[in-house]
Amino acid sequence: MAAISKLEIPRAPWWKRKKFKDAFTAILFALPALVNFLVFRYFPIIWSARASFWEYSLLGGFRKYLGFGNYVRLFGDRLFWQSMGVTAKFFLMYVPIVVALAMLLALFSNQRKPGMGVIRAIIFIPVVTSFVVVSIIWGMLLNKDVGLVNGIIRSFGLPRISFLMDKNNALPTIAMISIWKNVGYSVIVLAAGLKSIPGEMYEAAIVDGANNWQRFWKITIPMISRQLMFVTVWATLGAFQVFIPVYSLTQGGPSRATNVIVYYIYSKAFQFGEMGYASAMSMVLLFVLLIVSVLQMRLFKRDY
Amino acid sequence: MKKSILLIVGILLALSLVLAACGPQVNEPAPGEESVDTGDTGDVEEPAGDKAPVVLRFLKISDPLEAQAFEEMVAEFQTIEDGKWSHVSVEYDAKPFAELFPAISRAVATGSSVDIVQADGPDVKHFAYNGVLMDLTDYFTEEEMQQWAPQSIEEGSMNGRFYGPPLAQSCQLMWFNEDMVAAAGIDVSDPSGWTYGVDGTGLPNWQKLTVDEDGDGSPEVFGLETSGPWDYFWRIPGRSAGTPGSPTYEGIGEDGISFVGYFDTPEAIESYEFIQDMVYEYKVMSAEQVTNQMLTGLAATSVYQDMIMGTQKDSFPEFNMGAIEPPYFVTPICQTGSWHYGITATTENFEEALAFVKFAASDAGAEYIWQYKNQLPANVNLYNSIDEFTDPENPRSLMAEFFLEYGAPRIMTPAYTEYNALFTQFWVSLMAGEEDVAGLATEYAELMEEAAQKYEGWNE
Repeated sequence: MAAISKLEIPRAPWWKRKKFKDAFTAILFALPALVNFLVFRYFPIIWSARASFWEYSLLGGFRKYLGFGNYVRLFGDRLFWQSMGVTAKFFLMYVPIVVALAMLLALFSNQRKPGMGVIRAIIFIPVVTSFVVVSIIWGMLLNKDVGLVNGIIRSFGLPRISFLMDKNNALPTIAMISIWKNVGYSVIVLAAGLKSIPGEMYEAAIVDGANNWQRFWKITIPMISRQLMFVTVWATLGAFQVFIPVYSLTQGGPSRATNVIVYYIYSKAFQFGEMGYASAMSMVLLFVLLIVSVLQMRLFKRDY
Repeated sequence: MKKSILLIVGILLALSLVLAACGPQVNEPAPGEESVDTGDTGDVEEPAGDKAPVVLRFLKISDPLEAQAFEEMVAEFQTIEDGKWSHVSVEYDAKPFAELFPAISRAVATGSSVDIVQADGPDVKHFAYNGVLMDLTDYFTEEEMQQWAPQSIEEGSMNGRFYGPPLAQSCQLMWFNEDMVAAAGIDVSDPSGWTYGVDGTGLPNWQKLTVDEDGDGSPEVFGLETSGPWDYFWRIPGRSAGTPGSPTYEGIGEDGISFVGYFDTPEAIESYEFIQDMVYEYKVMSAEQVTNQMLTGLAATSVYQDMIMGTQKDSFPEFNMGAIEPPYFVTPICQTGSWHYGITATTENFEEALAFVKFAASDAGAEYIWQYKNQLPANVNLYNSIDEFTDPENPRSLMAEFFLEYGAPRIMTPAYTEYNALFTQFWVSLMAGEEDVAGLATEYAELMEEAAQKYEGWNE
């Protein structure tokens, strides 16, 4: 009997093999987002990093190479540190309240009762409005002499409050406006997380004798920890990048009480023509935000 | 396979949209060379002779009234000199006021093909210093320069070189609610301005005009409107506290970068303190700005430019408004300055841009701006030809006289943008009740000087 010769099945070219095709399809799906990130995120970051080593302005261009001169300068710039301090204060006012309030509103709107869809919509409406427009309207409402809010306060016999022209009240007022504007987004994220919790877990807990607080702390919180982490990190990034209400209402005042870091960077870049120095501050802010985000993610004990 | 093809097509479509949004690359000849077709010809008529259509790109403020004025102005421009410029059309890139300066900066940084910019008077030196605007000195005759008020020429120049003819001018009067003033028994037959100060003529009048019916310390009607926290309005009291030629009046050193000893003189500090007292001690002004405070009946008087007449006519026709000269401490003054035309250093249509700018800034062009905007013209001949300026009963006549006699350009420095940003911060803090006014003024004088240092030697 003749030996059966080993069949030589010709191999397909590498671009026709299944493994490559699968990888190629995956890359194609991701390509639009990658292009978006490359063009509108990473390229500006790289350009900004370059500008941070130069004396650069929009009108004057790249005038003089400074090396680390801008970075050395900012570490001695008291206004930079003052603005970082204001931003940190804003973060402490904003993030805990947004997260806690979003949690409460998510729990409330997650109930199976008539009208909860409308409630959720009402909570979300500020998110889709223009921040510039709502800032201006809030400014009118909060005007000490003619604003509606002070009119209501006066009707209770209380003295008028200077919300935006008092250096002790201005930053909390900006925080309040920002919380009102942004909490809806976090509510939607947390509400989605709440809906994904299996009802049987609560039933089993009830059978085991767990009370409301125990069910909330031992079941709800752990089950939505991913969403809580996301909401916290998102709120943190938003807090460090707050700009629009400051630009629209207080321009960093009064007495620099609302001089948050992004507004200071903006003023240096566009009002003082120091785009290079502003870029250096932006790089430092980026680094700070990276560290804060990593720390927060580790706190939630997730590897992302 | 089909999915991959569809996906590739979708990605290519998205990429093409992104690239289209980035704008076209245009190869343009150097300034002064023969113009070439730069793109969209818009509503260009058939060119005269064999000239290719030229579209001038004009980066300007968003103003519907100006838009109407320019539409008619361009139509006439195309007919002048026997239709020599009939091949020229103008395309506008209009921005809100607060966005115009950053937009010009971005246009320069990105090399956008802009031929003409509308620059605020105090910013002309800043743009000229940075090489954004063309030096037009050699293109305007003495006769042409005499069309405009001396303040306009000073604002549009840097170191004796001319960079931008004016579009209009501005000055301030104190406008008042005639009914409230009459009810308070205040005599305004003398158009002379009230004086600031504890012993001035203004304070008692403003106190009479202030109404606080419920006695809660927050008047329903304030004596004087609180305008925006800008140098344009609020440097006036400070400068008026000095005599012409004094550091207080000049507001800045001759080197154009010194503020210490000019912004924080004892007289200036006293003026800042008095304005603050008008809010917190005498309560005749609110700390916060309220839009159209006087026209809505929430204030009795307002220091403003003549554009308020248009607002009153269009939106508050029942409001009875009068005007007298603006208040001052020692020296009457109004701060002047409005828009100027500037031809960019990167224009490839210099000949056409120059011709258009010359026409626009001429008496003929300025009449169109006046017709629609009703803003104080910079063309002095119009003060003698327009009825509102020749009628002694009309506030515009008073404004023109006051402008010519007491109008002073805002501080002349290429650091105006930086200074104005710091002034706004200073003013907001002052109006918020900052206790150490002298310390605040000194601090900001130092910050202004520090910000201006990069322009050292600009006028040597």
